[in-house]
Amino acid sequence: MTKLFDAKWKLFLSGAIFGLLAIMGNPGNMAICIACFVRDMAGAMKLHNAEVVQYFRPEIVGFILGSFLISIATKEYKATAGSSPLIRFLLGMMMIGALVKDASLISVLGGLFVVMLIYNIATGNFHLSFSGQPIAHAQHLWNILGLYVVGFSAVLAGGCPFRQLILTGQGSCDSAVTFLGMLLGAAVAHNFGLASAAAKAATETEEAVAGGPSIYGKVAVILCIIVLFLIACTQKRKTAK
Amino acid sequence: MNYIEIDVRGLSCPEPVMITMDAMDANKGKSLRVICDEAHTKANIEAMLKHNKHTFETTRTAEGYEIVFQA
Repeated sequence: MTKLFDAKWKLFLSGAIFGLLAIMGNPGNMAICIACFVRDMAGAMKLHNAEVVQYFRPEIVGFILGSFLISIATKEYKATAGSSPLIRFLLGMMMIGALVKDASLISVLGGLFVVMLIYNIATGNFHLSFSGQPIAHAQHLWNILGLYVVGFSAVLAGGCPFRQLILTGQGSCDSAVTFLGMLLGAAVAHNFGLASAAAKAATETEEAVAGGPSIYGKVAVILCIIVLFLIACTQKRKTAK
Repeated sequence: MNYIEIDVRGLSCPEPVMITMDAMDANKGKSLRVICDEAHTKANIEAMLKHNKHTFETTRTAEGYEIVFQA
């Protein structure tokens, strides 16, 4: 069973299947975004009050349950915990920087990307640009910094939000704690106006909205970057050379 | 044969791989044995060893896994 998904083409295929499933109704430019889905779950549990993003995402349940069942079947399930859990909680909170906006696993993304590309070109939705994309804003600096925060915290935590979800299903309570951090981070982001607004084109009655982060969102991103550097520098192990 | 033991049980990503890599740098040419207890930790260490072109042998033990290789 462990050999079921070892080849790159199998991973590519899984990504393509994800893409096909996501096309059947997931929001544009979101498809399968764990940070967004955790935010939606936080909303569904009323941890925040932004009504437009309160939605119980079955994908989250599916991923964790799937990972759990497969790890039971392969006898790899093991409940573990205790490796810097509070730092991981904090890192989970910062993975929500995605809301401001092994090389073998890139095959899954490859499959997802190809399917999405084909679908969007076929339906006339494709436009190659950094501006005008759905549910996004064009304040590029903050898009870049927001995802920088996510990437940085993922490197320190040893995995991106999706991986934390899968590891949780496998028994890793450290990953579960990171996931709880993401839930709280999403709640904080929306309760305190840190999440960004989507850009809107001008309609007959309203002016165009550039969208983007509020001043609180910008401060939060900068604070996260400072905290991440602090964590990285203070947690360096002293190696005897 | 004398192995240098690296015990990464109870540690979560990214520590196990980084500790193993540090031990490999500090003990070049010697035989190392990594003891871990999580499946994905074993998979990550094996992937790192493959990437660095090391042969290794993995055995399943009561607590988890043992990976033996030459640094």
